[in-house]
Amino acid sequence: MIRRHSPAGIFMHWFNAACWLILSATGLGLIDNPALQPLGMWWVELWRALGFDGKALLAVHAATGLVWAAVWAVFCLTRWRRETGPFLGRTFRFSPLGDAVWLRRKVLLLAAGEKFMRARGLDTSLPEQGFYNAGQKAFAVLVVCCGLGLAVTGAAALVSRLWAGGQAAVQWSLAVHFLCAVLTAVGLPVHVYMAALAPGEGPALRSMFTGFVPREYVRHHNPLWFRQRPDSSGVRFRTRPEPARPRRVRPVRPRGRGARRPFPGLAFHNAPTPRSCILQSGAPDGFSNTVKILLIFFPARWHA
Amino acid sequence: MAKYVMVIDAAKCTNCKACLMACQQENRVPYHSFRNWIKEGADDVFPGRHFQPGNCMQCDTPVCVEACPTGATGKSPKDGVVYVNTGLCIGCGACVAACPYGARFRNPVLGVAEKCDYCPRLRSQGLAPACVSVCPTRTRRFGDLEDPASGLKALVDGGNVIRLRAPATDTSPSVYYLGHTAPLNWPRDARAPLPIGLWKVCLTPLARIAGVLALLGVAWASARQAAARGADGGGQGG
Repeated sequence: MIRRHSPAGIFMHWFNAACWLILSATGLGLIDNPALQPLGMWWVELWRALGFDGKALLAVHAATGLVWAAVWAVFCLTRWRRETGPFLGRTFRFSPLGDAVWLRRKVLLLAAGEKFMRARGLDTSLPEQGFYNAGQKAFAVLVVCCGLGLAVTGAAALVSRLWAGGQAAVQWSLAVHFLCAVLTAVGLPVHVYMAALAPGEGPALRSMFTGFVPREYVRHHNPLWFRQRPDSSGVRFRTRPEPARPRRVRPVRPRGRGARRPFPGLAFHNAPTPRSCILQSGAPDGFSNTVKILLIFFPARWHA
Repeated sequence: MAKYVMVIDAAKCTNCKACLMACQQENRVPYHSFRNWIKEGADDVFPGRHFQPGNCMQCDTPVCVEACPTGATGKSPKDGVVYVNTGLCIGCGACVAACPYGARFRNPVLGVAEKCDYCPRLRSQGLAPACVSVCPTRTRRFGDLEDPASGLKALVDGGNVIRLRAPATDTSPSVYYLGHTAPLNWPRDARAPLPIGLWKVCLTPLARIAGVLALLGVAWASARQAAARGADGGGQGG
């Protein structure tokens, strides 16, 4: 296993995610104007129904924003050489050939699919990527620029009452604050999908908790980084031994109501369902594992 | 539902400025700032000196309310008065710039928008606003348009009143001038300041479209990956 994220970096990621949830939810609740509210006034009314009037929302939004900006400032400044500098160096350095081609092909692959590209004679291979791929770099640049924009314009709006004569600047600050929030918020579903929900991204998601990614994953996804480690920025990454192979596939138990009634011999999720078990319940073949498991709970005559 | 209006017989005004002082004291407006005004003008009807008292016109379609991003100002459905919620106001000044009458200003002490709200403290005690009570010539008359006892509906419906309006944008002001007054051409067009206008015209539609596209894109990619995985019998994606 290769270390990809430091514990401080992991903390900042989830701290950022939590702050973003609070800030975007309360920030949207503050836009009490139908012409300016992108979600619709139901969002504002929901907050009012929950007992948050505009004043309370503003207090929560401002306090969270201040904590968010302060913690980020301390983190960036105190860990400039270890984290901030290398991060900015890796994300803001675009290669027109590799990154632009990667972005174009990846978007086409996701939107149209490999068959569509092959049918039109388009190259489906992706250029080798470094520590961050081009999509991650683009999102990082967006988040850094918009984060700075949000902090500066948010601070301007926060002190606007004390700031005589700068009303035009405050109005521009509010519009830019909204624009930065929208740009980042639009990128978030894409980030969550690409980093956590897309097939094969399990190791990436797990690394955001453990800090480590499997050696094979890095060799496949980040070959340039794999070959360069320790990279040119001088950052050394600790490694830890790979788990012994072959790994035993541990059954993943379902959460929720079914979790307290495990079925011996039934492996969920990542192992094939024992055929004998399904056959005993009388379920016909040709269903997905989930449907088969559900069918166990019902009499065999219902299955036809 | 009440609808408070003010009917002003400008011909009676002597420019004593008692209304300005009374308002300032009642509402604790900082010195050198005023919620109401007296303009001086002359025309063919009033060739000599003529004084035109005024205050917030409590418009029925207030552009200041449309310009406020935080909902700190609104037109009360209870009494038709355009109010400012100082707890919500962040002092961005969008409403100040949007008002065609210059009826709003930024309170230099509190840093929030300030305007005439027909003295809610006095009204809650059954009294008229300070500027109305103090006027020695009864230039200003105040009351509920829906209340026949106030006599204002008869005055307004009588047709012998005019309202001051911006040339291109009519915000339906609720302050009426009896007979005639001057000057008439000073209200400017009601328009939200540029950043708020851009937000309304460009940013909000952009946010809606981009948000829907992002979610649709993710859903589309998920569906494609799931279909591809099904076809391959459980392959690995990117």
